Amino acid sequence: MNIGEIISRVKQGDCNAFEPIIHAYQQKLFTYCYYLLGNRQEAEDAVQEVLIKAYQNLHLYQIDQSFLAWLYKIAGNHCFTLLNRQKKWNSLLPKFWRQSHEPSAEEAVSKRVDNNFDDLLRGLTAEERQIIILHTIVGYTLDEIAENLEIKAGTVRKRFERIRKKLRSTSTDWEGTNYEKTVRV
Amino acid sequence: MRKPSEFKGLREELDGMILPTIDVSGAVMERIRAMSNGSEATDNTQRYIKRRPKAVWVMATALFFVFSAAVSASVLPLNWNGERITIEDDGGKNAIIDAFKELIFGQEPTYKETIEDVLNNHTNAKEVMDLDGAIKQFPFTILRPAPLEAQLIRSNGVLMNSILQENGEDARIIGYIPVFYDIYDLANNRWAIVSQKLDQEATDLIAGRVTSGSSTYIGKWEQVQINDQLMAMYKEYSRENTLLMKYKNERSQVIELKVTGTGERDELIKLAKAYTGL
Repeated sequence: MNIGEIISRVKQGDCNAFEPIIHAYQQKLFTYCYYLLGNRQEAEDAVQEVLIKAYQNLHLYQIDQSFLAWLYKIAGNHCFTLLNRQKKWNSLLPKFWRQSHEPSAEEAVSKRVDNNFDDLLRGLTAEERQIIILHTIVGYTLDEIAENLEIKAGTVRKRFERIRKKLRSTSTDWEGTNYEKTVRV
Repeated sequence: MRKPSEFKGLREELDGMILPTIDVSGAVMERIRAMSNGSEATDNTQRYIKRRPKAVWVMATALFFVFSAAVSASVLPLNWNGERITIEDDGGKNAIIDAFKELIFGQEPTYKETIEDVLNNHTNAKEVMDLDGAIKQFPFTILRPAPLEAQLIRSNGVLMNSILQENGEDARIIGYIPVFYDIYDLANNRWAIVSQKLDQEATDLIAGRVTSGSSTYIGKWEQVQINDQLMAMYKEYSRENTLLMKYKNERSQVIELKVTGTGERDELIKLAKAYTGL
């Protein structure tokens, strides 16, 4: 697949030329969005939006950069917008609605599987998750992550170290010990 | 940064098991065609959004039940000298998390490497001493082994730093925990380490200084032996196996005795028996 040729055909008005791009990158984008958002359905919807945005902004893509890296950048921005919106929405939701909302069977299964995901990355902020995902799933070096996120390489290294410390304390063979002490007077 | 190749399979397995294959091409192309015709499709597109096929939900549901069954498989609580002990099988969840961390950060040092680092470089330790020094300083009677086939290559007592953590970061040292280590060489380049420390809470419970106590152990722990003087559990893990014991000595102190290593179950039990005689 020649990205340059596809872009050129799209610019000439052949919108169908964009389809191979979707087939080539949708799964990678889905994985990235899923690990960022922590929800399958939202991730699938996000992939659609990211590809639409990519199509609309194809003229901004510079041919000397990695096309996938460019897509990841769009996906990262889109997911963060969603996460921020979700955060605001959750704070506004009336408490009684949440209590009365009974999840469907599909939602329940999805929630359970997503909880498994949370176990893997629990305690990390969205920004920290993004670094981990870019490093492990996408396979970027820390320098490449810095370039993609447009932050200093030193900052990425510091954050990576902080994540390492956080994750080290997530798993333990012991759940805990609890003793009740008596006070003697 | 290169990731360890041995985790490639695990990574593929995780990807394959957790994430379904999606195909949004129809929905996206419909919107793109609508855009290029001058109007963004809205309602129709919403209807056309492809949801995951039913088969995926069937698989996810099956995984959910397998997962739930594995997690809920817990052994009934035991009672040992007044302490309530619960074993909960996590269905391999911690192993997945550990493997995931290895995938991210590379392989962690083995337990043996960690202990050798403590003994050689005083990492996270205030003081490293020999057996005589430990006998003088430690608040419990150090167990010594009966003659063994396994070769004892090193014995040291250590005052390990007890560190207070705040917001996931090490904040300050708040005390020292005396731990005694015996390192053994086993046949075929395998090894075992016997560690012992005072289980202060369990000791206080037996002495009546606390009214109740409970411990929960996560993982596939197998109960090996339980009597008034000893409780022993065994667990296999990917890199090292562990035999964990609570042993009540003649002074009614409870010693947490742990035998960790690449040796087989029977070898670790044999080592432990040399210490406890039970």
